[in-house]
Order: sequence, then C-alpha cells, then structure tokens
Amino acid sequence: VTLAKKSTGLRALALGALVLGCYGAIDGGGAGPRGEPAVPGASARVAHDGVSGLVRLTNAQYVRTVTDLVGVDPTAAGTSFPRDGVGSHGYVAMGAVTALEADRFLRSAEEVASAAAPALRTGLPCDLDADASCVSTFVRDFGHRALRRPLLDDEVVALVAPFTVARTEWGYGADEALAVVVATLLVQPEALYRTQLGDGPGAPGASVALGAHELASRLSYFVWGTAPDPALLALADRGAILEPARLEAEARRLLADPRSEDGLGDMFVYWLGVQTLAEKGKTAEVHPAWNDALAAAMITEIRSVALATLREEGTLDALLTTRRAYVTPELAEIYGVTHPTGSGAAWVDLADPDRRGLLTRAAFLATHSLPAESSPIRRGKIVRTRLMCDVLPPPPANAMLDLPTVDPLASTREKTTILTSPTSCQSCHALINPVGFAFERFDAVGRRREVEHGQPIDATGFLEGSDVERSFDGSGELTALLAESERVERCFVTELFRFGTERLDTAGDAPLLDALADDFVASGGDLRELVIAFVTSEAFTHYQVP
Amino acid sequence: MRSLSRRTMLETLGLGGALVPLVGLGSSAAAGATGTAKRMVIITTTNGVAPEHFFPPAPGSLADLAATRILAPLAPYRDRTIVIRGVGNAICEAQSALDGHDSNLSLLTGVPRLEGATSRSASGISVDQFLADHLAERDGPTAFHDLSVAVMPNGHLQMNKISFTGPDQPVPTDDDPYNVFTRLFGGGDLAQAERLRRQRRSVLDATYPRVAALRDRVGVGDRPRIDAHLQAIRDIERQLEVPACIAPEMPLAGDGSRWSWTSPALIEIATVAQIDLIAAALGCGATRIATFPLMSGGGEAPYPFLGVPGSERTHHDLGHNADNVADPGARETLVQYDTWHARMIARLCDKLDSIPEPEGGTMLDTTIVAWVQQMTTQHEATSIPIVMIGGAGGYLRTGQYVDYTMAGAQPLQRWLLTLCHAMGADVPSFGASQIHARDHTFELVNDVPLLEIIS
Repeated sequence: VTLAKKSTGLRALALGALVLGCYGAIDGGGAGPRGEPAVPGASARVAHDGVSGLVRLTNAQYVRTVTDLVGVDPTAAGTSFPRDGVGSHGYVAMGAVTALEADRFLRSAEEVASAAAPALRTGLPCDLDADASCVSTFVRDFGHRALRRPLLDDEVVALVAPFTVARTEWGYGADEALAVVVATLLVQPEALYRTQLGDGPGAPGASVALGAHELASRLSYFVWGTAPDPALLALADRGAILEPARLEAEARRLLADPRSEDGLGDMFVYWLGVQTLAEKGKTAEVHPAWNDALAAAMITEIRSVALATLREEGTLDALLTTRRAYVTPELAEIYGVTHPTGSGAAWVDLADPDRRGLLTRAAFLATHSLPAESSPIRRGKIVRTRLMCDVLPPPPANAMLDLPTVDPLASTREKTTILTSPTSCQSCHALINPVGFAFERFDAVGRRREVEHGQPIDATGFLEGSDVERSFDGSGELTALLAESERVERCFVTELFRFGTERLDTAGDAPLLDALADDFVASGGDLRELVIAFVTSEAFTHYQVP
Repeated sequence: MRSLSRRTMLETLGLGGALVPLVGLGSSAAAGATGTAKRMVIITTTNGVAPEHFFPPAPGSLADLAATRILAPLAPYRDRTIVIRGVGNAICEAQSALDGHDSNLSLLTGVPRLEGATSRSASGISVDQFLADHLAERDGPTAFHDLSVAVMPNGHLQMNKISFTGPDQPVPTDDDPYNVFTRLFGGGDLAQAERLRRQRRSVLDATYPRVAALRDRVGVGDRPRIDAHLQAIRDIERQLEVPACIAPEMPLAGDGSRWSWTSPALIEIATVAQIDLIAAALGCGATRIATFPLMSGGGEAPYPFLGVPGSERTHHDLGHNADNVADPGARETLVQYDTWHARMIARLCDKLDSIPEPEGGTMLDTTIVAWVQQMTTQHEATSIPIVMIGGAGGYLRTGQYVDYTMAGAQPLQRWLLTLCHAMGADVPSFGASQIHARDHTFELVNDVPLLEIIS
C-alpha cells in the first residue's frame, strides 16, 4: 500500500496534467503519441527515421520467394521462421539480420538447396558433367531470378567457383555441388533485401527514382508478397516498367491475380490485427471446435474475402458490408451455415444481418476477444484506431487499481461499463465501448449467441466522435454506418500508405495523402483505383531520402 | 554493445564503503571466498506476483524457504539463494503512464526506452550482453556469445525482448527448442559435421564480401543494419571453428514431431526443453550467458497443463485480476503459475548442480541464476522481486532474504551494477542511475553503490 501511494505520487509529479487515459488492451499496432488525450480521427503524423533504402524481406515473403524460385517450401523442409514483428505503423517491421537469423537462413538454404537440386539439374537444357559451360548457364539463369536482376559476368564467375571446388576437391556429385551454388545464392544479401536506392543513396531530402528492377520488385512484393514473375522481370530488364502506363498495366495485372491474396492480403490481415489469432489462448477445452486448422481457415478467409471483394465490387463499402464468406466445414459450423460440399474451402453468403463485412468474420471477432469471453474493449479499440484513425493513449498506470466491483454473473456489457466508469477512463471508453458492444452477439470465437447468462444481448449503441453520429443495433448496422463514413475512407488511405511504404506517414506526406484520399472519397471508395493511384505516385516510384 | 564495453575504461571508483554488508545472516556455502561468478542465467517473468506467497515472512535467513509457497521448490538451494525485495524500476514510473508495460526495455538495460523509434525498443545495452562481452574479453570467446531463448513469443513481440546489444538492437530470442538444439549441437556424425562446416565456410566466404559491398551503396542510416549482418556472419564463422558439444536428447514437440507453436499445452514441454538446453550449453562451455524471458510480454497464454482451477486463463488476465475482489480465484491461480515458474528454475539449478567443476563443487556454485520479475503486482514496477541462486564463486552472501522496503525502493541500477561486479566487471556504474521524474530525464552517474549482499 505504501508503495502504491508512492508510485502514484511520483507519477503525478512526472506527468502533471497529462494523466488521462483508459483501461484496455494494449496489443496490436496503432500509432499514437503516449500520454495525450484521445483524438477522434486524428491520424498521427510524426517525425521519424523509418525510411530506408534497404528493405529486408519479411519472413513470409522470403519463404514465398524461395518456394516460387526452387519449388521447395523452406518451412516444409524443416526450418521454422518466426512470425514477423509489427512496427508502430501497424505492419511488419524487420530489424537487422542477427546471428541467429543468419544461421537460420543458412541452414534453411542448405536444406532447400539439397531438396531442390535434382529437379533443378534435370530441368537444365545442358549436361553439367559433359558441358563445362553448363554450370555458368545455370548460374546466369537461376541467379537472375534469385537476385531479381541480371548477374554481371564477374558475379557468374564467382558463383561458378564453389561448384568447381565441390566437384573437383571435395568429391561432391553434380547434385550436391549444384546445391552449394543454390544455397549460396539463397543467402546473398540481394536475396534477403530489396534496395530502393536508384542511382545511389542520395542526399538528405532528395527524391530518388527507383531503378527498373527495384521498382519491379517493389510492385511484386507489394501486391503478391513474392518476387516478380518472368513477365514482370522481363519488363524490368528492358526498363519498360519505368513507363507510368506500363507500371499501371502491370499493377492491374498483378491485382487481378489470386497471388494478391498473399501480398496485399497481408495488409488486410495486419490492418485488422488478426495475425496473432493463433496465439490468443483459445483452447479446445473451452471451445470444443478449436484447432489450428480452424484458426488458419479464419485467416485465409480474411485474405480471400478481402481480395475477392476488391476484384468484384471493388469498394471499401463492399469490404465493410459484404455477405461473402469463405469457409471450411468447421468454419461454416461457427457461422451456422451449411457448407456446400462438406469438404475444403468454399464460398457461401451469410444471411445473418449482423454478419456484414470483414469486421464480422470469425478471425476478427476471435482475435479481439479474451480466450474464453468476448471483449468489447478490444473490438472497439481496433475499430476506433485502425478504421477511424483515432489516437487513443494507453490507460493510466493506476487504471487497474481500485477497480469498481462487478457481479461475476453480470453481462460482459455491464461489466465493461462498470469497470470503465471512472472519470479518468471515460475520455477513451466513451468512444471505445459502444463500438465494441455492437459485436456482443458474437462470442470469443465469433459464434453467434442470443443470450449471455440467460439475459438477451444488448448490442445497441451510438457512434460517438465520428462523422456518422447515429445510433445502431448490432454489428450489421454499425458496419453500415462505418461504410458511410468519409473518415473511415480517409483512414483506409492512410493505412494502405503505411503498409505500402512500410513506415508511418509524416507531415511531409500530407499533400499526397490528402490528394489520394480526396480522389478515393470522390470515387466512392474505389479500392482498385486507390491502389493504382498509390503505386503510380512518387511515394512508390521514388525513394525519399530521410 | 561495443560502446559501453569501452566505457569500462572509466576509472573505477573506490567502492569500499559500499561493500560493507549491512544485512546478512546467511551461511553462504562459499562464505569468505573472494571469487566471482563465471556464468549467468537471467530468467524473467511478468504480470506481478502475490507477494505474501512469494517472500519469506521476515528478512534474514532462508532456513524456512520451504514454507514460502512460491519459492518452496527452491528450498534445496536455500543456502545458495538470495531473495531481494524493494528494488524498483524507477524508469517505468518516470517515463510514462505506461508504467510497467515497457519494463522489459529497462529491466536489464537500466536505461529508458528509445524515444522516436519505430517500435518499442531500448536505448542501451543490457547487462547480459555487456557481461557476455566482458567475459569474452577476459576468458576468451565462446562458440556462442550468449544464448537467448523464449517460449511462445506472442502478440506482444516487442514486450518479449529483454536483451539488447545497443540502442534499438534487440537480441532475438529463439522460441523453437529444436532450432536451439541444432544450433548448439548440430546433427549427424563428426565426418558429416566437418563436411558441413567446410561447405558453410564456402557459402559464407561467397556472401560476406557481397554484404560488405552493399554497405557502400546504402545511405548512412542503413549502414548499422549491414554492419549487424556482417557481424552475424562473423559470429557463425566463429561457431564453425568450435568443436561440437556433447548433445542432450533432441527436443521434440509433444507428438514427437519437429517443433511448431500450436497450443499452450506445449509451453511446459518447451520450457523444460529450453531449460535443459541452457544447462547443456553452459555445461559444455558453448556459452556463459543465457537469457530466458519465460512467459514474458503480455503473457497471453494459459497454463492448461497445470490442471488447477483457473488454468484455462492467461497469465496476463490473472495478473490483472489478482487484486480484484470480485474475482477471488485469480490470485490463487496466479500463485500456482508462479510456483510452476519456480519449479522450472529449480530444474535448471538441479541440472547445473549435477555438473562438477574441475576445482571442486558444482557448476551452480560458480554461476548466478537470476529470476527477476518485470513488475511488482499488476503493472507496477516500484518493487520488483528478485531471486538469485548459485554461489557466484563466493562473491554473493547467499542464504538470506533482504528487504529494502523500509529503507525506500533501491534503484534497479544497483542490482545491475551488483551483477556486473559479481561477474568480475568492476565498472563504476551501469545504466542511467539518476532519474529525474519531473522532466523525464535520466543520466549516468557513478555514485550508485552495490547492493549490500556481497561477501
């Protein structure tokens, strides 16, 4: 007790008038300065040093790239790659390659190369043993794809050397020696990083045009989450990708391809914060249907529904209100619908008027819950921060001390209301709670429920602090309001920008963001045109030297 | 890590006055010895504890440690244990309303979090990395600079990080015991291992100069990342020069397969595996420093394998509700969780105590196993419970419970400095020892004394 008092005193000294905040989940992304009042709709624009001319592939991108390149999935070959970390911009942020990771890349490359070498060798147009130039042919072609640019002659020579040494000095067979070359290429810095340097690092403040291969890779990783395919690589070789019309045409081609579920699909996964679903403590003891396959199916559904909606209706409105669902039989059971075939993943339409849009899909509802109970606070917070761009400070440090008493048998809504009733909580929770309550007809795994502790669910609320201040009953009506909101449209532009530039937006980005947002709003929230406008903007084709 | 290492050249202050033991009734196994520890393992847990079940009833002897519920598993080592109460992480108090949320960033660094970084990060080197550098310099390099393992890093990735080589340079933790195993002990027979080493040298020889060439192309701001990559390659090259250790059993997931994180039920299996791997790594000299954030960060995992009431709830949830009168079961379940943590630490001590030292005694006698909490209760960090087990080569005055509560919370940096001296790094200070709460500033000062727990 003495300590608690002392700490409160210290804090009061330290923070003075800044003490204000709310109790709630702290997880997930969401940028915002700490210790400042809640600001509905105020996107944080801060000075930062997140801009880099050297972009490390995410682990997911590296795995996809290697799989596409050699036909062997590194994770299936035995190496586990950790899930990518999230930066303050809300999307994947990669640090420097550490010794542990360098070791992991090396061992993975060995395993993958050994598994892939026989097929790579039989696919060659020449005979490695009979034709001395055959290995050069392989290095030139495979290296081109692995490094996503043509190799220089001395680079070819340097990579042929290990093959010769392995063959002649170590007594390796052709496959084993080829595997050494493949492993070497898979750990080259250009296999692990993308550069955005153009002709050089550039002076501070300069805007440097990306080289053709850099731009091709950036586009491919942005939309597909993997390396350019032969068609795009050929356009880069000829420099044609630097022509705006060609860049736009390629962007449209990539968008129309299902591989966009991998690349751009990442944006929707991290935007909705569902990448942590498998680690949210759900167990089969509490939720009998729960298993890894179900969690994976939920994430797949987010990618599939998001990109299918982008390709079909193509609007943010549709994304927030779609009835489309992509379900395995287990997921269909959660939604209470019949699976059309009884096996595999299939498309269904959901009739439930509360199941409208991505926010009502199981991945979202289950991630933003406690292990066994729904969490209006977590659900409300992510909608406020990631869809409405509110800046919410973390709860005050003493938020959990002297909590009001709650009846264990009270409804989640009642408990939440009582626990957040102190005045210091209300500045944020007046915004968070009503939004979260809209989803109360869905439990901790996203299953519909009509009653809690025998009492009917109350999912009504009023959308405070928004440009659509109206009342709603349930998530169907809430998502309809969000779909009407211009602020939500503008916020989505900021989110896409953060994902695509891999950093927080700064004050200097405001003119571009405003222009993109104006056009997006005027177009009625046309997602495809937004992606095209972003990809052809200087924020994408150039590197802004910090 | 290099900058502070060089700072060790700062003149050593006369610390004589501070060395007088003010407290201490223990019968340290190595009392009177003047050595220092050769190895250190730091294990952290979070979300606070129930202090009435953690600490002995009164300062002084640990003879009745078996009667303390949470620490009872450590009773066999009571003569080589120090329990400390009243060391506080004032940085958490001063830097923000976040309080203990960022405590992992200052816990082992003693400096505040990095402001303006793109993600939560520390602004300085952590004591484990500093001491690994120190020991490499003093006793020669080991195959692994240090070993950093974890179990199930969860959504709070940044909150899992406790170890840093410098500002914004977190040391990655390996949460895959199988990976840890293969890194430490390789696989296959000696001929195969030698063949693999030769091949790896070839791959790295072809890679290093190309990473170095990239360094010349990128801007100044990106060079530290390239330098870290180059250092990583050199680290692997060094590991290739060291003969493999004697391997323990290969850790496998519960179903006998290779590892993947799928279920909280695996936490127990993984923790046991990581503990055994730490002991094996120390035992064969592969490294001297290990860190293990055991259920760190948000602690968003239940411990269903305990099979106690409430074990379907997450550690985080229990920590939050430990004082909630409307949730009377939470505190008891939290005690069960923390008792399990103590059992895991006792397991590590068992392993180390079974390895004889050439000069006599066991490896535990020359090691410090430190178990430190990130928080007091809930999200406060005003008094973080600390337990240190091991003889530390006779440096520490073990067998006692020290309570600073009445004297006012002692700065965390005193403990970090004491760890440095216990490992033979006689630096004048560690971390930012002066905290100015009013203007959120911190500074490095050289007048922080060691804790009064040394022989």
